[in-house]
Amino acid sequence: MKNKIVIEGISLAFVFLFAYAAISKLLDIQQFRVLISQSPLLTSFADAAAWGVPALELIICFLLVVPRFNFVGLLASFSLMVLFTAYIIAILGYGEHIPCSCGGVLSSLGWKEHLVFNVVFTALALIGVVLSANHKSSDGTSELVKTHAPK
Amino acid sequence: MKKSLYIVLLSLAAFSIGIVYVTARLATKSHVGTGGFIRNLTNESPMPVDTLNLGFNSFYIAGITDHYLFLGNIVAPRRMIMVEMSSLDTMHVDLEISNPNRMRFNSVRLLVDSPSFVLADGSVPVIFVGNLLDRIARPLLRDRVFFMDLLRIDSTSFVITTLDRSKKRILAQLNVSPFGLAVSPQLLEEQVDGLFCTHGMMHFDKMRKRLVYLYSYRNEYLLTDSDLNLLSCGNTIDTMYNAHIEVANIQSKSSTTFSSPPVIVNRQSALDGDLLYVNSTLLADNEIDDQFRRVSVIDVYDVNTNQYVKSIYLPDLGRDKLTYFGVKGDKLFAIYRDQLISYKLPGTGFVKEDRL
Repeated sequence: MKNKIVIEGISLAFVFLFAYAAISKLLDIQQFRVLISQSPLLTSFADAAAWGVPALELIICFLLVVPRFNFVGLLASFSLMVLFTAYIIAILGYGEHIPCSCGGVLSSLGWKEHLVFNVVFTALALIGVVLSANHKSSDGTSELVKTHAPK
Repeated sequence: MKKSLYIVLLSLAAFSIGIVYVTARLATKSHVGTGGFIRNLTNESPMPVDTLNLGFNSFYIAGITDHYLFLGNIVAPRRMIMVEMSSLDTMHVDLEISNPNRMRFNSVRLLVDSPSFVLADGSVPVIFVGNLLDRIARPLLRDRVFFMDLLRIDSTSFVITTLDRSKKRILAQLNVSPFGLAVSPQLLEEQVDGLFCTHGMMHFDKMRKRLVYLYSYRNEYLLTDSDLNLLSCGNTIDTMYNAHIEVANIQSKSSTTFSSPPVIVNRQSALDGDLLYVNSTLLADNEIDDQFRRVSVIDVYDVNTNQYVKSIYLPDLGRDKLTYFGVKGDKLFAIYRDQLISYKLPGTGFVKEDRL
């Protein structure tokens, strides 16, 4: 029961994070596209990344909100956070000119703070996944069956 | 169940890291503008003579005389450091701004042309001048013309970079009394957008009354007299004849910015007499990439003859590349974040003076 609250808390945190990040990007997609094209890593993929990243974030929100996809959503959150973290580490190696294109207030974080922020959220996703898996196996039933069982 | 979960998590993490890794590899493969030229690398390298800890990473070189180096501070514009060249003895000076109108500043720059100094903010716009003896800066010109960069020619005239009506960068001569602005719209040559592509650095040789404008994004510099009459054009040794930049508008902010990482050709520069020292970012055919990454290369040109002389390497300090540098005779001063290092240039006899 306790675990379930933790899992739901973590899921909710990710829903807020990704929805906020995606919407603030989409609200000014043109600016986001320009900013992303300044990144030495992404300049050739700017169009794909500009639409792909917020789309992915919204899809993950959807997965997290729907109970039967919650576990998949947590796995996806974990993957995306690892991806963002790897990107930050990669771009810190480029030195001089590194623009930030994360949405809203997240842009005001420095790259080092961003790294810490990401590591924390990656760890949260990991906790969520592990608890969620334990939760299922200790019940002896899968999430899928449980949520659809008659009350 | 548990084991398979960890395998899933590990492979997801590996997949994510793999995507970034592949993207990074693809990105570093495209070396724009490198090669196609040879550097004359002498065996002698500059000798580090002395190091000075500045305490902050916000100092830049605001002026240089035969014996002193003047440092300005980006964050605290009234704070100046006077550095004696051979001993690196310092004197901290607080400049005073006589500002009865309580003007607000955005980015004040200090320019020392001893014994005068200029504090200027081209976004206000305002120019204050003062004398190092009493250290008080008094307003000289206000609300006349916005500018980006400023050079002091003499007590009543300046050379500025500013924007024309169509937002293109132009050079102009500014006279204070009586006020006059003589624009030279034909000097800077538009290649991409006329604003970013013409970005560059200005230097003034007081002795010969000549001005050098070195483009940041192409291999060219201009030499003019103090009235902005073109004397000659020179090329740096690399092959970047055209600025390799792309720009885009952000409509929501009605601003213009880069839309790909710009290829900087000339990162920093200094002028000392006839010699133009240029910190280039481009790799030559006879250089080793791994070695090149850990140094700042300085190419030396003679602006009199438009000849390339030689190149020297200034090694990075830890992981930091030099941020600013200045040259006087055989002495080179480089700022690495919060450290100032003095070098003796090869082929000359500068040694640290023992002072009693």
